[in-house]
Amino acid sequence: MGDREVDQELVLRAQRGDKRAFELLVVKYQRKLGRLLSRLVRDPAEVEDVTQEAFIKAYRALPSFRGDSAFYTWLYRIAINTAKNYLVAMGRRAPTSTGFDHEDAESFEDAEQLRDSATPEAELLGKQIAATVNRAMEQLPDDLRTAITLREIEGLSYEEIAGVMNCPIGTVRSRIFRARESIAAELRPLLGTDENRRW
Amino acid sequence: MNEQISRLMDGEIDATEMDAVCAALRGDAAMATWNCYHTIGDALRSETAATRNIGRAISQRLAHEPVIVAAPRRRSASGPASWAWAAAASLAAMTVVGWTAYSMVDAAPAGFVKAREAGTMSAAQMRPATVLPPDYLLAHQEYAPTNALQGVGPYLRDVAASTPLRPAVAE
Repeated sequence: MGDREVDQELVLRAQRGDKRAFELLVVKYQRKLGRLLSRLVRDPAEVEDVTQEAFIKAYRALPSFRGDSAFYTWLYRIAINTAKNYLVAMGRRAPTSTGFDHEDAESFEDAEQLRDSATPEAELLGKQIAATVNRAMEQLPDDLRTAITLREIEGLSYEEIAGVMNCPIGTVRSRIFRARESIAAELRPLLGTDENRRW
Repeated sequence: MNEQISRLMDGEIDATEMDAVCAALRGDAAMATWNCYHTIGDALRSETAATRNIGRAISQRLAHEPVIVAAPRRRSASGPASWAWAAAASLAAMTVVGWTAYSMVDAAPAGFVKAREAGTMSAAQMRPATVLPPDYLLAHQEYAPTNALQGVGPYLRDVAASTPLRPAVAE
C-alpha cells in the first residue's frame, strides 16, 4: 500500500463517516497547504483562515471525490479556488505571475519569503521546532540519521532506502521508526503533546 | 502501535493493518504521535517556518460538520466492473442494429422489382393518346419526365426559336 493508496483509504473511511480519518489527512497536509497558500494570501492570519476554509470545503465535497487524482492534487485545487474567492471578496486580485494554475506550484521552494511573512509567534515556534529537530538529528547514530533523511527529505521508499543502505527492508523500517521516536522524545514537550494530553 | 503509525505515514503499511491502526488513531495519544511524526518531517523539509499547527482548530470546526453518509463512488469497486457493463451495452446495441439492417436487406428485393418495373415502361405506354403538335412539345419539353437535358431546356428553346427568325442571306 503506497502513499497515495493510504490517502485513498483514509478518504474512503472519511466518506463512510469517519471524521478522524479526515483529521489524519489534515495533519498530514496542513503545513504543505499553508505554505503554498502563503504565496497567494500574504497575511499569516489570513493564510490560516483560508487553509481552514479549504479543508472544511474539502470535507464537505468528499462525496464527490472519486479518486481520479491524488487526494492532495484535489485538495490543492480546492485551496487555490478558496484563496482566489477570498481575495475577490476582499477586493484584491490574486497574483498571476506566480504560476498558481500550474501543478509545478506544488513543489515550490520559497522559505525565505515565508519567513518574512510569518507572525513573530509562529516564527519563534518554527525556529524552536527546527532547532530541536536538528539537535536531535545530530545525536542520532549515522544509520538512523541516514535512513530518516532519505525518507523525509529525499522521499525514497523503504525499498529504495534498503538498496541505498544495502540492508533489508525490515531494517529500514526499524531505523526510521527509532529515529522518529528519538526525535519525538525531544519534540513532545515543545508541542505540548504528552501522552496524557489531547493532541 | 507507534511503529505501525510510522509505516502508515510512509505509505508502507499492509492493507490488513489499516483497521487496527485507524482504530488506534481514534485515541488522542496515537493522534499526538501522528502529529509529532509529521511535525518532524515538516521540520526536516523546512516547512514549519511559517505555518503553525492548525489541526486542532480544523478538528473543532469539523465537530460541527454533519457526518458524511453518502455512498462513495469508487472506481475499483467490487462486483461487475464498469467496463463489463459498457461492453454488454455495446454488444446489445450492435445486435439490435445488425438485426434491423438484416431485416431491411431481406425485404428490399420486392421494392426494387417494383421500382425497376416502373422505370422500364415501354414507349407505347408512355405515348400520348392524341398526337400533339411539335410546337406544343417544343414549348413543354422541359416538363418531360425522361428528358436527360432537364434544367437546360430554356436555353434550348431560345436557340430553336431564334433559328426561324434568322434572315436569309442574299447571295
